[in-house]
Amino acid sequence: MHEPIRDNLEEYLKGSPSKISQDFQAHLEACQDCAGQLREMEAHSELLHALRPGKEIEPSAGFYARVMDRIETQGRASIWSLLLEPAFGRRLAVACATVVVLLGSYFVATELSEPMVAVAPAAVATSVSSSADLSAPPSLEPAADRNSVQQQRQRDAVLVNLASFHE
Amino acid sequence: MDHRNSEEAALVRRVQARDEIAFREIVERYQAKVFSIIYGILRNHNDAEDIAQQVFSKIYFSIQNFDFRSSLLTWIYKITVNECYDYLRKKRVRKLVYESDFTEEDAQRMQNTEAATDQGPAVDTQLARRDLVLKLLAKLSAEDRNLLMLKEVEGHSVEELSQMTGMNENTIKVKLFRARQKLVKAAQRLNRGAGKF
Repeated sequence: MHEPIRDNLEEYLKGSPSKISQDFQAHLEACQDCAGQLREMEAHSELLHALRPGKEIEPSAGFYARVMDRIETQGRASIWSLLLEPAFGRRLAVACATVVVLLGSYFVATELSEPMVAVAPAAVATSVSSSADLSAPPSLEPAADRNSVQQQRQRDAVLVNLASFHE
Repeated sequence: MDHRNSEEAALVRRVQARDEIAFREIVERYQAKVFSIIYGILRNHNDAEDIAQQVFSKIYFSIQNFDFRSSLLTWIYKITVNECYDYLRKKRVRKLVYESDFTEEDAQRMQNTEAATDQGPAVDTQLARRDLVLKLLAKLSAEDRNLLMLKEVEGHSVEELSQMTGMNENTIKVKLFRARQKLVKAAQRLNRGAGKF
């Protein structure tokens, strides 16, 4: 819809021809597109009048008392009904799901890393050699170091995973 | 227009301070208006009573958030229309509109009048028009819907809407134009959808 029609639309729909500029009529005659859109908007404006109540409606006696009863009832229930509010409920569900996913991935990561440490060939070899030959302590320390370094790396990897998942 | 220094604003501040006499004054001042708005949309007295109670209950609980940017009536109007649409959504628009329109009074009149058969199509047309307009309005945002209804249903001028909402007249005109365009598009989509079947 072009400017001359858009600018005068409300005046036209209101039926105030005196306030409508001359450009409006001239453009309407020249532009079929605008004329078509205007007809549709006019029809919808008319359609909306179907929602006019037609008469003033008064509530039956005691309306205020009934409103106060409802307020009292809803005031009592409001803390629990908060959980049923769609927006709040959605946020709560998202927060719970995030916590579950984070905890789940943390536990999965730690579960996977612990058996690897326990059955690591270096660790087994170390424990075997340490129980068989007590006179060789120098070979034990590097293996234990390697283990702790490996464990540390695995912990770091889990932390990086968790941090990047959170982002 | 400044909505902070009016007599109405003083009344609102009293309600915000939990003055029940002030709240009663608001209920008594606006109850007829709220009932009329609801009845205009739903055409059912029982539903109007239930929704009007809910509207005033919402007003009571959320008046602390009223920021005086619009008039109290505009704010109440918005709550009322939103409540009606929530209700329609819950009850499913089509079913409700057709059933609620036939009150016992209507049915009695149609049975007793000889010309009842002649009135049939007119009532049908009215129902169909209301059904259509409610469906189309449901496709708009709450803000567009309220503005369009304040203009077309309540009959307020652009100048009045500007005072009521605190927006300037050009903004109101632009918003009304966009809302009307959306309504036209929604109707076209509805027609295309109906044409498929």
